[in-house]
Amino acid sequence: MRQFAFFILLLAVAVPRGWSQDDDSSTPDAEAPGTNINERYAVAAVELEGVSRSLISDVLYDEMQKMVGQRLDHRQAEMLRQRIESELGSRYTVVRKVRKSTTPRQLQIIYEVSKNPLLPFRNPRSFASYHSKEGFSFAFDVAPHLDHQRTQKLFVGAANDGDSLIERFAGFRIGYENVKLATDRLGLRFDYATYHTQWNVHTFNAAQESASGPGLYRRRRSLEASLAFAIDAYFYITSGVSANELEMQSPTVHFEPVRAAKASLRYRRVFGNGDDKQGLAGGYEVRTGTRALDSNFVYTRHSWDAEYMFRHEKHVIATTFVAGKITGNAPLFERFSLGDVEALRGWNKYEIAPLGGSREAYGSLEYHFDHLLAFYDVGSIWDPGASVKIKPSIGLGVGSTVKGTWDTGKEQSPFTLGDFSLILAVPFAEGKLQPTVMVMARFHM
Amino acid sequence: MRIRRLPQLLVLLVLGFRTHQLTAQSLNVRLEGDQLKIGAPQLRLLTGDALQRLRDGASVTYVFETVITSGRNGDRLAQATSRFVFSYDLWEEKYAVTRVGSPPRSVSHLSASGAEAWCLDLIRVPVAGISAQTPFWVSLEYRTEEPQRPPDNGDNSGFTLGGLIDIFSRRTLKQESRGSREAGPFRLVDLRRGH
Repeated sequence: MRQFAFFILLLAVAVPRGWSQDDDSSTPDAEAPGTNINERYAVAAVELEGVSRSLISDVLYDEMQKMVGQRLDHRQAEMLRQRIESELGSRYTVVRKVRKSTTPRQLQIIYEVSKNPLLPFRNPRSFASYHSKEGFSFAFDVAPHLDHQRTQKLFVGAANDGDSLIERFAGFRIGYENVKLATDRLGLRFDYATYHTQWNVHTFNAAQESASGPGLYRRRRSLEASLAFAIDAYFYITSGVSANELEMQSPTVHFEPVRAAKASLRYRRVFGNGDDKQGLAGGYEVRTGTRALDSNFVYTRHSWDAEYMFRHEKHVIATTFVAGKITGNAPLFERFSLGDVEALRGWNKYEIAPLGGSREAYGSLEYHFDHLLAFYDVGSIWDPGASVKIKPSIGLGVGSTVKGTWDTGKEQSPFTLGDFSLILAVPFAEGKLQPTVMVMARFHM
Repeated sequence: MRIRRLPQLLVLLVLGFRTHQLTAQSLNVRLEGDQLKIGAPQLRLLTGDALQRLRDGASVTYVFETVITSGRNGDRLAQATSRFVFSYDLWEEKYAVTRVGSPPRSVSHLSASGAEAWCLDLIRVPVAGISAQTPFWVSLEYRTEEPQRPPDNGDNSGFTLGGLIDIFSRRTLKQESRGSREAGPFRLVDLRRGH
């Protein structure tokens, strides 16, 4: 069993290199001649909006103008849209629109160009989950855009989350993010959160028995600020500081600061279109608590993650690899945990490592067919000097994207509520069979 | 006690959405010779993103797949696939529809509901191979065929691991219009009597 587990871990790392390649899907023929009623009208004007005309070649611009006076030819107009996009590069998206001209029974072709943002918004998605051994969790955020260019967001949210960390934290958070700070390449983010923490009985008992382990706290407040810099459309780096204040429970109630510098590198790319897609994402993050920032906890936390996904029509194969290492004395919220609704599914994280661990390794292989899901997870959490126990699990699930329609009486507007899944996972524990039921909802908000 | 029931409620909620999609929608069927004709009076195709693309002068192709099965999720007894290209006349402010296939047919100057009804009226499934006494179910699935989109370079959600799943769960950058209707059981002998 252990050899099989290591094989899956190896596969999780090796597969992305072998499968990563560009892929184009076929284009449905919606613009065949004679199928669009507007082709009977002549074109009065062709315009480029959103960027300076000088950004495209004279040859291409002349080609566009050749459509003036001719009957609308959607294929030709679409071919020119693709050429505009090709000349402008991957930073831009071009949308073709046809409007009535001011000249009766003639049309105007407009190529609307918009610049793709380089930096992502980094606020996490709202979710609600249930784990039959660990209970309910949720985090809901409202994150409206503050400007027309959609480069700034204010987010306000509440959470009662026993899934993400070894602690259960409940409270609210508020933040601001700008992904275009004077230039497309620079972003800024502020977060403030205040949480009341609760501890599982396993964690509480383990903390009592551990004289040198990290202490429990009843409240955690954090303020974080970070800058992001985009190297290109696929790769960006971040750097920032976080200031946390822990209200410790023992030996008497007191406050301890956790101040850390942090940095990360992230890469993500999706290849292909339509029903054939491949995606690759990965990153590295380091956080270090230091006396230079007046922190009572001095530690360094490294984490690596990588995910590769391949989809062909209704088939999806996904593989994930996560690893982490902590040196020094990290607070409990920084320690690694496995055994929740997303990682090492089926296991109970409080039974594996009630105080979390300073080392982690985790791999997952997942197959989706339409609404069905099957997976194999394997991983381990440990501390230096302790033996590494490999924990595998398997599971099955069903999932669906829930969509609805707002009916205003005059018009129906479709919307996507979110992705819901129901999973039954079985950990390969010695001498017992204890399946775990999990429900996960990720909201599109 | 309340806590123990919550997981069951969540499961019911998840499954309930799926069930709702299947049962709350219905089809009318009638027999014309050896072919089954489909009616879906409450079906509204031209909404949301598809409607916006039509108003921008583009064509939108709808693919209808009609399947007759021996029961819900049963064996396939017959099926037919039909493709229709919709466009919106920007000057007349009326819809035009072309059936792709043999023989091609076109119609113009229709309202939205008229265009929807016209293409549904052309959908037929041959039922010559089905016994008159055999009960069967009819399902109609429809979806738009999306024009080619640029790669998802500008889609930010995929920078996280969970975000990739989001991208993969979306077929295109724009919302694809799709849906289904299902009804049954029917028997040809009953449909003939009704006819």
